[in-house]
Amino acid sequence: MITDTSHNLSPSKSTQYKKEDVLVIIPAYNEQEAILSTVSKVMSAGYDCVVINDGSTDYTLDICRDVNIPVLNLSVNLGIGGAVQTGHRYAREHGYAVDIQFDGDGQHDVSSIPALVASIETGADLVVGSRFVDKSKSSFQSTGLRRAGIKWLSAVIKLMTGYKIMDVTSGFRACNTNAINLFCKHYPSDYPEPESIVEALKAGLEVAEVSATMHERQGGASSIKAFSSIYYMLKVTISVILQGLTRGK
Amino acid sequence: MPLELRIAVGIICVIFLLYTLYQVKLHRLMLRFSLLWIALSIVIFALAIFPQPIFALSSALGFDTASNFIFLTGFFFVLLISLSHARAISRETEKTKCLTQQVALLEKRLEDMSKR
Repeated sequence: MITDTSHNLSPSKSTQYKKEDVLVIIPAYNEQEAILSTVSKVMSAGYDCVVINDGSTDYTLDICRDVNIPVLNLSVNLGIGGAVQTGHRYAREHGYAVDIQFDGDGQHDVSSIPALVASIETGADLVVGSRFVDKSKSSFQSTGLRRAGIKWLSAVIKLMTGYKIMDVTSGFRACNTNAINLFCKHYPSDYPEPESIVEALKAGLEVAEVSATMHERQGGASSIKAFSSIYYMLKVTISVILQGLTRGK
Repeated sequence: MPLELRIAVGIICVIFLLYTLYQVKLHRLMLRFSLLWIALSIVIFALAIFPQPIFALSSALGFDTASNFIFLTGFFFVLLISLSHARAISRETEKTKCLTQQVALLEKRLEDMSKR
């Protein structure tokens, strides 16, 4: 079920998507330093994009409005899960075939988007952009402790679903309409990346992982802070196990 | 149990019950969240008036003193109420999330319409 299409981008019989079929969702919470350069890179690559301003207290919203960037403004902070889900709902409303979740802080690289879309074209429903599939491609590999945490979550997911996904906390991912519909209905709230992978697998969707280029963040702070990382690991582990125990459809 | 204590407990229960009902009447407390509290004050009131069943029950269950039994029961009862509140909060959080998203989507649609 899991296919690594990163080394095999040859087009198959399945659909080819044009750039206007793809919506790039950029969740942003207090990203005034990086948001403009992130959006301009996405737009100059030719993709539609929408910024989800997640109740920022800085000038993120004003910057976007000033230069006419499409923005969905959440009047209260919902957290990354609620923000991303808003993007999925927007994508569904506007009939996009594919949506891409893309960080507002400059961590993700636009040049990797075609690889994610290509993997959707070859039949995946949810594609995770990964730092670990092809290590040479990503300058940013994260700290040792964080990598250990990711390895642990990856192992828990393998145990619960039988599928091996390496970069389970990656927020660089692509969804086709199957995954968009699933995530519109329900999307985990606080730290949604690992949980949503399990949710997709349990719903019988095909999850793929492709190599993606990632950099150190330009501004803002990680949604996973150091002091709360043990709490994070505990919570995600429990939720992945609970999610994993529910019967798939 | 001394008579004075029973009277005091009875009076506290009546005041608590009236206060709860008053809050419901003022719409500061929804009836469905008040039901557990109302039940609690009625039960305690009844036990203050007729404490014999509690003594019988607690010694039958092997408690050293009736107060231990009452504390334990009360503790579990409060936990139950607390859990029901956590459930209510979770439900409300989900609703708030949904509404916030809807407002953002509508705001965007409005913007797009006024631009055209």
